[in-house]
Amino acid sequence: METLKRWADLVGAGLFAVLFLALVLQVVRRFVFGVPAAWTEELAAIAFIWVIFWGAAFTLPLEAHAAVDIFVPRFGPSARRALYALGLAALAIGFLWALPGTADYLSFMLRERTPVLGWPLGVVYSVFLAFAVMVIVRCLAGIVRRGPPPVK
Amino acid sequence: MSFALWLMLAVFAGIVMLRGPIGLAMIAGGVAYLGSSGQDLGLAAEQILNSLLGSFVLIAVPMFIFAANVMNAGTISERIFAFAHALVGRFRGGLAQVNVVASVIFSGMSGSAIADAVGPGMVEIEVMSKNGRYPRAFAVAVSAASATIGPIIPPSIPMLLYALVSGTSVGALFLGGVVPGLAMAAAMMLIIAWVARRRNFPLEAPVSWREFPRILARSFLPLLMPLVLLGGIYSGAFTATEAAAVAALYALALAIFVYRALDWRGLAAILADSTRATAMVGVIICGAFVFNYALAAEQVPARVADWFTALELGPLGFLAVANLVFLTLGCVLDTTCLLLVLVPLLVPVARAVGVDLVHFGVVIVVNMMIGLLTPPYGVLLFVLSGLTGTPVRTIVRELAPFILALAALLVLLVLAPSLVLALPRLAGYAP
Repeated sequence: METLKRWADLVGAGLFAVLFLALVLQVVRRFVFGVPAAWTEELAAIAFIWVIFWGAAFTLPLEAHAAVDIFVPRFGPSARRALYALGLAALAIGFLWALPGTADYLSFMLRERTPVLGWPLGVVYSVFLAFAVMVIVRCLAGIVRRGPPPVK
Repeated sequence: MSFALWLMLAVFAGIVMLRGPIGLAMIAGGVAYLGSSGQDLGLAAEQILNSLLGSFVLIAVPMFIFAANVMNAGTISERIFAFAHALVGRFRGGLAQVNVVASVIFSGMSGSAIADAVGPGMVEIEVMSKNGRYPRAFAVAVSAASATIGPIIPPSIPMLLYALVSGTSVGALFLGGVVPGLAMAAAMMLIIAWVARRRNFPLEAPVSWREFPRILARSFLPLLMPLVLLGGIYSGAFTATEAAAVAALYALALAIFVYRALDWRGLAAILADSTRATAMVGVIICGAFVFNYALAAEQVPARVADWFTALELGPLGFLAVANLVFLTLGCVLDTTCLLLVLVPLLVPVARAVGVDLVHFGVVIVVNMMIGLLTPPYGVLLFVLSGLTGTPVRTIVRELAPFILALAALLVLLVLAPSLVLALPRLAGYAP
């Protein structure tokens, strides 16, 4: 599990490096040739999408997301645990409900291509499916797992 | 409002109350809206992905996050701190004053209050509370308050988001933040001077002016960064997104080649951290895209506009109502979420009642900085309380005068638009 996490982090770091280098290249091209290449902008936008959803799917625990501590901390540990699990269940149901529609949309987008690089949009967007599945998995794991509830 | 829209809000509020992640709760709410109004559920993914692919200006956000992480790892924060110490460390309560001045300098390079708090902010808390010179809660409060200057003095991530949803110029917004940011710093320094005298805070041995050239030389290259960044944007040499990448590149070059404070392992860790932070903000942005789709489909913006028109408010009345709404919601909701969902509803109204959109943007961002400091949902409080182990309650007690000063300044900015608009106008901004 720890090794997997390290690899997920490493891939995330690599994706971020691609995003950064695409933008650097764009600035360099602008200074050297006067006009930026359109493909660097598109690559940066694609890398941005991958950074967000790869990061959220594989490197960001649910507890690390922005969340509000107004209501839940007023209760004792076991009630807190149960309320938190209830929220996660609602979240999992929402993402599960949208999963077939999301998969349909992504497979439909396999036919479309990005304007400059010509990559199939379904492939570019596929990381979103991984994100949606991982949200469900993480919610279920959070419901099943014992231990202290997260409080700030 | 339809049943589906109410269901969306209920699902979102329910999950958030149960301490679920805000961004994911917005997406789940959007799914509930689509499902219960009989629309295609793939629309959520479509809205999110197409909006992300089309919003190039948003890519500045991860670049500013990355640049701040590099500066914090590359001893750049320490160098800025030493420079500020040589400038204002000699006054009573000097270290607290240094804290504010260092934040002003850092904010010229970073666009995020959290980056300012965890970088220079933490350095300053360590120095201030060493040997119990200052009460820890006061040190944390000063770092939290001064971190709010970060997104007001350019560059600024919240102003980028505002520019995206309002269609105003990033350059004009950035310039509009300069005077308010400096005014915030001045107000904080006055409060510190007053508190320091009353509580008899320690005096530091002054750094002799003979040492000054050496300290300046140590911090000179980082101090050039704001010039590179803003010069690039205003000369039209590059876009805000590219400028953010250049800032990160500059910080990286300093950290790796000049100061040799970063190796490959450290760089990989910074990249992975930046990915995590980008994902965290990105998920909220995605949630906002889905929410906005539902709100637009239900014609909520038009309703809000009608509601405000019926009130027959002038520009001042509108600004007063908008600020009260944001101050209230800022206590319980996330800044990104408010900027991307609520602001688009108010921008057409602001335009209709004759409020300048750059003025409105700067005022709202200052307003939301107060929200970062106020419980129950004050991100800066959480972050600094978590990092220092200081209870939120004691930080809030020390923060009270700073929050009051920021609120007073907010009123002043509302009443005197030229405080915001004078600089952009000098640079040729005309609405």
